Formats: sequence, C-alpha cells, structure tokens
Amino acid sequence: MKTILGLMKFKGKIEVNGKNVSENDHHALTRVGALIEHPAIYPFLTGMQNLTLYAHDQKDMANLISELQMDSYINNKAKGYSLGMKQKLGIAIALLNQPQVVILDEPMNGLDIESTIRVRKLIKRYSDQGTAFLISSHILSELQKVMTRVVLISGGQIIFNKEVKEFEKISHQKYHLTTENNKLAKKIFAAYQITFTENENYLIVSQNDIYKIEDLLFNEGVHLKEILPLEANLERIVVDVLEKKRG
Amino acid sequence: MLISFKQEIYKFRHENIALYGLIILMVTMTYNFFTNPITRQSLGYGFGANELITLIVITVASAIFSMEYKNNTIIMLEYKTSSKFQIYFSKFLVVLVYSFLLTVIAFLFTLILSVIFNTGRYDWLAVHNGHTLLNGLLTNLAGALIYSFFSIGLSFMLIMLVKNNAVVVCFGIVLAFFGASFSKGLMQTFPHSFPKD
Repeated sequence: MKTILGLMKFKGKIEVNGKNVSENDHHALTRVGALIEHPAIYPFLTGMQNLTLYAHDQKDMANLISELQMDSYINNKAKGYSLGMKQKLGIAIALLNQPQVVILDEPMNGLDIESTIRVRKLIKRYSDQGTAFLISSHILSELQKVMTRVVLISGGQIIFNKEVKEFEKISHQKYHLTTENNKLAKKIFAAYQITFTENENYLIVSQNDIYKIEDLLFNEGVHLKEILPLEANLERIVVDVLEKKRG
Repeated sequence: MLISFKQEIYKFRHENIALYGLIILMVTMTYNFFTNPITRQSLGYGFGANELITLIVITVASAIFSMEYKNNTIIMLEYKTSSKFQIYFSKFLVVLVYSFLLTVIAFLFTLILSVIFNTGRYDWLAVHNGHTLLNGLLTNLAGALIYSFFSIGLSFMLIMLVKNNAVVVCFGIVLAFFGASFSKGLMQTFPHSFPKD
C-alpha cells in the first residue's frame, strides 16, 4: 500500500486512475485518501484542527464528523483520544474531499461494534457514489460484508483474484440439511439415489434435489430440523487457496 | 508549495515549542542581565542572545521534524506532495521566519532591558572603535540570523539521519557554545590552510 502511494522504491509500473505514480510524481494521488498503519494525527491539534488542515469543503468535513459520531470530542486535543477515537479520525481524514480511491489498512482496528457498523455503512455509501476502496484486513468476516472483489497475495504473487459475484454463483448450489434422524435420512437418500456428503452433524446435498428430499422425508415421516443454503465462506476459501498453493 | 507553507504555519502556530523557545530566550537574557556585570560586550552580544538563538533554532527545527516521524504524519506529507523538497523547504521557511522573529525580539528586549534598568550608562549611539554599540548589536544579531540559516539545514539533515531529537539538541548545544572555540582551535592548528587577511 505504501508503494502505491509512491512512498517506497519499486520496479515496474503503478497506475492510479490511468495516471502513473512514481516516487517523485504523486499527481495521480491528489484524489486518493489513505489510512496506513497508525492514524496520522497531530496530538497538539484538536480533531477538528487535524481535519481542517486537509479539508477543502467545510460541509463535507462536518458531515463526516456527524456520520462517525465524533461531535462530542472533536474539539478536544487529539492527545487525549482513545484508540477508537483516533482510528475514526484517521478514517475521516482518509475520506475527506470526496476521494476517488481510498486505501485503508486495518480500518476496523480498535473500533467498537457500533463504530464498526457505521464505518461499514460509510464505506458502502462512498463506494455506491463511485469511490474505489482498497482494504487490507485480517478480519475476514468484516471484509466479507463490504467487499466486491477479493485479491489474495502470497509470497509476492497474486494467487486469487475473483469478484464476489463469481463465488456467490458457486455457493447456493449446495444445501446443508439436518433432520431428526440423520441415519434414516441417509438410508432414504441411498435408496433413492440422492447424492450427499456428510459433515459432522449435518448432510450436504445438491440444490437440485431439495424439493425431492423434502417430499421423500415427509413421506417417510422424518422431520426436517434445518435446511440452509451453504454460503461461500471467505475464511474457508482463503485457507483452501493457501493450502493448494503450498501443495 | 503555498499550501504546504500554509499548513506548516498552521501547525507551527498551534505547537507549544515556538512559545517555549521564545520564553526561554527572554528568561535567559533576563537572567544574564541580572547576574553578569553589564559591559559594552554583554550589551553588544545581546546578553547571550547570539548562542541562545542558535540553540533554540536547532532545537525547534529538530522538534518540528521529529514530530512528523513520531506521529506517522510524515506519510501523509510525503504521499500528498510530489516533491520531498517542498516539505523540507516549507518547514525550513517557517523556522527561518521564526528565527528572524527571535532576533528582532532579542534586539528589542536588549534595548528595553538596558533602558529600563541601566538608565543610559552606555550610549547606544556613541562611536567606539569605529562603530556604535547599536551597530554592534545589530551586526551580531544579523550574524546569528545568518548562522541560523545554516543551522536549520544542518538540524534537518541530522534529524533525518539519526531520527533522535535528543541527539540533535545535544549537537546543537555543542555547536552553539563551543563552535566558535572549535573553529578558532582549527585555525590555530592549521594556520596555512586558512587565507590570510
């Protein structure tokens, strides 16, 4: 991320919005907001002053402050801020002036659950308005709620690069099933040639067989406890891809 | 460039270091005034303002730079401007303006102290050894200002290399108080290396 911001030496080419970025040319980064490592905040300035330093539009700044619920402490000196407050201020600084691209490194670090939800909503809103976000995080469940594309980099190589739509197509093809008597259910499936796999306490069946299964189980008097589509789980995908790479 | 300079001024105004520097200058000058015998020389040198200004400028320059590294804000500065020179030069200008203000205040404060407490024992405009006391004071302070110009650059370079504020300040103390003697020593040891008048 620092390399994209032209802060490190690199070989090769970096383009942001069609314009080249180099160590000595950051013109392409004028509409890029960033939060890298720790929030870049001056402790001797108040939160408001930290934002005023970079803001071109007072209204936009005021909107961000109220969206992130920072009004009560925005006029206090930043040296008295907690980790979560500093993190929110850092995110606000990254989102100032309607950026076209925002780079966030562990944005949810130190945030309580309400703030996490607010930031997530803010990211969704900005992205709907056309801002592109590049987010790096180790909290996959959080990422899963906002992402539209997943890129996995391991050992300096891209090993996975797919849009979320693609693996959502793959999911919903399998259903997870639990009955009051799984042993009997398995016998029924075998008798009627319904393919299934077993995983701990539940059975996995194909989406196409769902209605047939419901009718069969009803006829045999076996009650269904749970029938759910299997969602693509980012954690599972990442672990599988990394295992495959390691061979 | 103008935006960088405005941002630096904004930050500098809100930082306490500038005010502390000024207070230390005035307090030390007052201390020197009351504890040392008042001679033409002490008046001409602004009660130690010469060395003080150099030291304060080195400390302030090193502080405003190391502050950026400490708060990780150096990343914001570096990615938002294409040229690192812009960052350094805007900080350089801010500290230069500050050192100019310090010299002006030192000059005025010397005059005020001598007028209030000294009641004209030394005539500022009397010619002595070819120049007036007033001229002497102005020349010395102008010298301090020019010296600051180089000190700021040196301080920035050191803080970037060492990244430790305390080390640069110690170097500043050595330079401010022993620099002149060190140069003198060099000149006496290697008389042939230096052009004769």
